[in-house]
Amino acid sequence: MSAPTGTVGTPYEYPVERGKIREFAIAAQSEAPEYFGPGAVIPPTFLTTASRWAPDGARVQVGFEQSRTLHGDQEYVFHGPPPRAGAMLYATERLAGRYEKAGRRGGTMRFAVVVTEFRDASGALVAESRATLIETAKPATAPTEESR
Amino acid sequence: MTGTVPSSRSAATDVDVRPSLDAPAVGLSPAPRVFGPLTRQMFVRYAGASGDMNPMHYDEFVATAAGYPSVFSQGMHQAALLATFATDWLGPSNVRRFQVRFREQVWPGDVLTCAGVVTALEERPDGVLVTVDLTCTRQTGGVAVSGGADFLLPR
Repeated sequence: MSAPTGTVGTPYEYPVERGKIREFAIAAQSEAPEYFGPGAVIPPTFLTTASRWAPDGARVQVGFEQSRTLHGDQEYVFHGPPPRAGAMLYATERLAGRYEKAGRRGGTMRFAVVVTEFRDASGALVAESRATLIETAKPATAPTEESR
Repeated sequence: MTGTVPSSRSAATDVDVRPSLDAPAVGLSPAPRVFGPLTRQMFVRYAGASGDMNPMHYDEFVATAAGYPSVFSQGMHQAALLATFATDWLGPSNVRRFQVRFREQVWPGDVLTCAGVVTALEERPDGVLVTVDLTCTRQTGGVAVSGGADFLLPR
């Protein structure tokens, strides 16, 4: 199943939790005091954890074959200071675009851009995640150059 | 200040190498930070923290059955390490944009060096918007992750 551009997933609530920030900051080998404590701020890539709160129907289906799918690029934009522990965000994922390029070894590479908006209770846009997914022309598990 | 690169366990040292936030300048580049050698435990810790439970990053059998020499690190794990370098430098609350492109796979035992340089400054009503280029490089010299970020430094 392959969703068309503009497809929007089911909105969902995403509570920003202090313990999750702490766990993430430790995995990111950070000791910055801003990530530890009651008013902890989220690390720049922390919103990747939002999908664990996503109910069925929240994720848009780009329709790529999983074994050939790579995460090519990821961007987070914050429209003000990043959210802090205790915040409740409202997330909505959408398929923002699709395009294709010729693969270096032939075939067609397909790209999909998936944007997730994070808003506060007033509806104000707090942050956005922009992921570019790539379906390679050949299986992503191709052997390394050395073994060719 | 010597040219010593802070170890992965001495984040406190990174605070000492933060440049003056009052006077950011194009071309300014703090001491890089080295992470590693990376271990499978780090991949597992990131998998749990992020919720990315793809077994390719911690299950040796699954990874080798798929044709890889071993498990490998999540691209977003490298992105998180690069973000740690960037926010230790310019401040976790100041980040307004953080972008990465995934370029090369990272394996157990790899040593990653995260570095950055100021590429632009823009005066804003509420501060100075500092744009930086960021790279996370393997011990081979291959770039694992490249990217950029914007930080709004308040006056």
